[in-house]
Amino acid sequence: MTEALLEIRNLHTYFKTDEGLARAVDGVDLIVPGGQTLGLVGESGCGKSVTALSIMRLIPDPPGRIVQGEIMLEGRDLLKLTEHEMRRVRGKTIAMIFQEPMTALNPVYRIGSQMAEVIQLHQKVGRTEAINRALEMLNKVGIADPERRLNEYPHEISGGMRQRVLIAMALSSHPKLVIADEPTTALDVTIQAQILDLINALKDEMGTSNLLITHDLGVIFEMAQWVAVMYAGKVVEYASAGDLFDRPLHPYTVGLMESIPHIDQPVSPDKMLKAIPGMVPSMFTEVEGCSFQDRCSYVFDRCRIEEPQFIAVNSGHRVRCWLHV
Amino acid sequence: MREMEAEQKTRTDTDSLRYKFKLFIKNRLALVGLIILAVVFVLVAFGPTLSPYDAFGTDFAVKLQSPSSAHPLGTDNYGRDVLSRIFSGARHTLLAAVISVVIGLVLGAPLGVISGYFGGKVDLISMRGVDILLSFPPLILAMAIVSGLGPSLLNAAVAIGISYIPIFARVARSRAVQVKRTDYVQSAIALGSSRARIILTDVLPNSMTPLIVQATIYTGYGILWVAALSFIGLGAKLPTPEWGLMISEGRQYIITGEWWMTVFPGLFIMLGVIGFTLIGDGIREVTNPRLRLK
Repeated sequence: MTEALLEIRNLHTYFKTDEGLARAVDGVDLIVPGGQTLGLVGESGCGKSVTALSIMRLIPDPPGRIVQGEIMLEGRDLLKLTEHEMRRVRGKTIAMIFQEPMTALNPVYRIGSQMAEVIQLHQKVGRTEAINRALEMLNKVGIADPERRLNEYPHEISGGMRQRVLIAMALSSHPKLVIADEPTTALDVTIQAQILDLINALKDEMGTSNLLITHDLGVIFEMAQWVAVMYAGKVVEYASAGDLFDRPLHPYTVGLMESIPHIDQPVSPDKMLKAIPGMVPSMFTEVEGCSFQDRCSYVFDRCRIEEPQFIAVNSGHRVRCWLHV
Repeated sequence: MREMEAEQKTRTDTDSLRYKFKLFIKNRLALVGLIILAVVFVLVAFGPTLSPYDAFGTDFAVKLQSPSSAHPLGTDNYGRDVLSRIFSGARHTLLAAVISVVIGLVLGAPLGVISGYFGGKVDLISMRGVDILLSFPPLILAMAIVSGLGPSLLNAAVAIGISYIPIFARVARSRAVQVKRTDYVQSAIALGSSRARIILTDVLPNSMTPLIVQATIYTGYGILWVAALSFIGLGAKLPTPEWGLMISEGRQYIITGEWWMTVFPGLFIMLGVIGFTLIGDGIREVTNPRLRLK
């Protein structure tokens, strides 16, 4: 395993709401190795996006607060930086690609001037040079006729192209870590593959590390070298992608795998896809013991009393489950 | 393929300025507003040149004459030509109205944008201040301010401008609250933009449309209020050919039948107000696709 670029230890991010304290992130441990992709996977509401926003320190406060934990980027704890220092990390060291390319560009500026603006924010260059670099980036992300696009407004280009522009913008300051929060969810299936390929190619070309957030295990399989599985605000399993797909340990991960249809195995009526029974526990109530206990078919007494620790099973494979102690 | 290109083209066209202008012209009322405004602006620019007589030239030989071919809108109690006074006075009334809107916009919009963007205590305090200002009828507030500053046309404009601040602040605030939640503001924050930069490059430009609509409509009301303040002696001073002041001068002659001294300046005030209001509505309709659908 290469050296860690980003390491999150025991992160807890809570939100104060009218219904009580929402424990959106309640124990996240993960490592993004340098030059590789970590896939963060989990169902809706499990805390994936809140984890990403916590890394960027973009949790709206109030009502949100990072109450505990460390986010180490190259040996620096991001949670200890001042807001001013953090602003230089955002965009420069860590860049983010959002889910909604349709609305993530400012409608009143041309593509070129928006990109140049971002470039000048982090690099000491003049306007002409910034425009040149924008052009270079548009070329890199595979936009045809980039000179023309520079002078167009966001509404004049398609969703896929907008996502390419946003990727170009995110990468224009040569960040070390790129956080992509469901970057293809809003796009057509054909465009999805193109964008994922592009993110992968740029990772290799520019030597960035990626934190890819998705609920799609198929995307993880294509893209990631490492995987963190999240459930109810916690990372329940962390492993290399190969290890995880060959030997999933946590019952939740196993359940996720079984709920994917396989193209080579016909789904016959007597052998339907398996869904995980039950519901995710509410993030407002503190669960005693393991948060997966009510849905787990291997549950035993200890699971209901004591919360499992995040245990290393072998080098790099960690799981939060009493079955594997 | 060709169909796709055509579709691409129409989609692009719906947002182009030329298309919006076409749509604007198609709206009959907006077109009327535009024509009225063109006339008013010609008067502002060339009023004295277009006037057939000197606006200040008294001639008691022809005083209080009803409209005739020599004096199309009649003459006043000093024998001055009413048409010439209306033409020459356009710039006083209009300029005062524009100054008031500029003051309201320049002070109100930033206040509203900052209040809406930061929210919390900043918002609470500034918006309660705005509420207090709003609780006075604007004209009463303007009257109070002019009495403090001393009556003059400029002070009347300043006073109306101050009473406009809460109106523009409200509009700007509500827009800023919307814009700050947009993905492009979130993405600007994630790219490391400072708050000042986001306000200047994202929030303010994207709040302009409703502010422009509001500014146009309130320029119209400005004409009315400038005239009103002049009418009650808190605006332009004699013998300035300000429209409101002309009505004030002519009001004692209504009873004796010399109606042209008051009716014609009044008609021009009305025209000005209607012109700006129609244009404001026209812009609103063009920029808001939901209104366009009907």
